[in-house]
Amino acid sequence: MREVAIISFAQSTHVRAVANANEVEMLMPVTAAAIERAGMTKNDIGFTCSGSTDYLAGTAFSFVSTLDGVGPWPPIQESHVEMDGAWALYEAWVKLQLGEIDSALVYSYGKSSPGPTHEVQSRQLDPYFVAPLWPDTISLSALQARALLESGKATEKDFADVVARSRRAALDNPHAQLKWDKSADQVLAEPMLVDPQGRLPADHRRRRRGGDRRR
Amino acid sequence: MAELTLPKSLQGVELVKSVRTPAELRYQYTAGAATTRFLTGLAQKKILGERCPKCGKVYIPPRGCCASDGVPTTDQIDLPHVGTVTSFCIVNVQFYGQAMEVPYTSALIMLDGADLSLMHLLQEVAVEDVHIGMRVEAVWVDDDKIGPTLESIRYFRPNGEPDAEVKQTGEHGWGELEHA
Repeated sequence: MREVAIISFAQSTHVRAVANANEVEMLMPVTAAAIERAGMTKNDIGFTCSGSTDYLAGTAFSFVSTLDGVGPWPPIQESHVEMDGAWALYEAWVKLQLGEIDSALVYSYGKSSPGPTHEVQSRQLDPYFVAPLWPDTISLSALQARALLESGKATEKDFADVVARSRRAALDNPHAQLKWDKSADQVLAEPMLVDPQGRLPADHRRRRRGGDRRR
Repeated sequence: MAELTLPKSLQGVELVKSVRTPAELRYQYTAGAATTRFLTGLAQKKILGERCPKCGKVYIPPRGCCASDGVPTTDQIDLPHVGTVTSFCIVNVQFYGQAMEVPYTSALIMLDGADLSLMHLLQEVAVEDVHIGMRVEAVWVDDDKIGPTLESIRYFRPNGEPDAEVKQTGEHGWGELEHA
């Protein structure tokens, strides 16, 4: 096994929606910063691998336009995986293990604000039996939560504890979207989004409804 | 087809051979800063390319970055509405959603001063007379129909200038221009 280390890292500021920049415009400063922090130029990179999902962008082969952001001319050795950054990192790691390359740039992105994210994600489910039912992500997690409750392995108070702890911990995370300091009892008092799941403050519920699919 | 042995309860039941599960999702497409500048320009009868600050190449339509250098394009270049045909395709096949009557010509047009060719329709010329190197100009829609869309240019047509020489050996294979 070759030892592999991450030598540089950059990420964009997480925001709920971006209306005035496309994916390549959002991505370019981030990949440029990661390359620069490593003291490298794009010509020093042995392999470039990206991970993203076209369903988020709503555009087939959307990664082709973001590839322009790393300056792939003259032609570079590159690959794209249809999923996420972890999967892209894995492909790069395998190539490093094979000794084919000595360095790699791995990037991932997902601009989810153009579409109704909760429903977009249902497209990754089994296409014959589950996806046609359009289960949104919150409903799916509610089904899991219901199963847990009925098995007696957890209570609603247990769930509320996790929510309260996570949102409080998020106060220290500049990239977290949902953060506040509330007790588990206060969380339990919030109305439910999908029984028994998704107790969110009213402003976030409104935002979610705004992105709902219209058919 | 392979032999299937079904449980008794399913025997005699009509087999499902296919299912249709239509999917529709609505997206709000973001053109991006550079393409927004380009589209806004079209609404003012301008064709705005963008120049790479490193290599100097002018891209049209601009996507916001230089694919050679991986840096944002920043300078807007007000390009002339005149260019040269670097490649073309005569469409003879009718297809769903087609707006044009066949045969018609789609052409790649390198505007003067640009380094990337723009695809558009070529009209006011018989399809058999279209050729690489032909000098063409943009024909705009009526002023009251102009908007932030490439359709503000109805088509390109020959402008009567002598042909330009087009070498297909350019760095990008897009065609390097030498004007006659």
